Amino acid sequence: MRSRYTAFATGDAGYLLRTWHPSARPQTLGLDPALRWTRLAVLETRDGGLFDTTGTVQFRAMYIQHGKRGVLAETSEFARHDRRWTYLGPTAPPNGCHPAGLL
Amino acid sequence: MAVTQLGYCDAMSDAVPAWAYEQAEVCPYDPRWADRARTERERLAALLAPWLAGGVEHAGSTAVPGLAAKPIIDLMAPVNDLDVTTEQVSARLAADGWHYVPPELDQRPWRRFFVKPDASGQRREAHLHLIPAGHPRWAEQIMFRDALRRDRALAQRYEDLKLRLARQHGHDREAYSEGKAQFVAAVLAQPSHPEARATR
Repeated sequence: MRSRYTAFATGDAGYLLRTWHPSARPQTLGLDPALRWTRLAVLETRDGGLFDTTGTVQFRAMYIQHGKRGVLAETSEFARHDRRWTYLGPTAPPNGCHPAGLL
Repeated sequence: MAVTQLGYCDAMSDAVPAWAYEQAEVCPYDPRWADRARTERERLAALLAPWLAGGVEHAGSTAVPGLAAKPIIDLMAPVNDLDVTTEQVSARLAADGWHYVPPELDQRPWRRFFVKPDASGQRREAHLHLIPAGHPRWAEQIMFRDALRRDRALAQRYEDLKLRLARQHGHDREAYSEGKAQFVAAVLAQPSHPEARATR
């Protein structure tokens, strides 16, 4: 998790692709140069230990984009693949999503 | 866009694709939408290189930092001849996961429209709009996006308006669209964006 954050922060798309679970991995990955990740706060982890095959991490990641600050909050799900931890995606739609209706 | 219309674009069978049924949700802004847009822009630039009259752009609500949106990335590609290009690129776009929505179903004659579902086929991941180079719609989309990017308070007003219109007008899509169109027109006419007036 922390190494993936670092890869986002340093623009290492290759590492991000390698640590994505094959079922969720995009074919290619471009990283927006206008987006700069500045800080990671891990709030809670569940499982993800030596004898686990899955785990979740709740985090907040701070960023600056086009000169403006923002915070991304997510609970991510990870699974072991070929003995390495890989990113599956958010455990559920992000908090605050609501039916679009006419929007 | 009606579900039955989207179903039509799955021409090989009568089955309506799952992504056409999707009840899209509006989600808080996610900065990784910018990465997804970057990814698609790079792929499309390579895929459509011989036909592009300019760069592929990220437009729509997901292109405005801070704005809540349906997590579907809107991409615009300028081309010289809409119909010739569409005919020539459809196969390579299909091979890359894009589904063509014909203009008689799309109901927007100025563009050609493609939808990319996600790996599960359940959700729409991206929209591609082929637009004739120099078309006023292109300039308006870019100017509106840039105005909202420049001014976070303006973006917030747009978000509030959309929520209010959705509440007020229930299922009256026309009234909803009209309210939105007024806001867009007002933004494009702002004297602080003189370039907007030049194309109107």
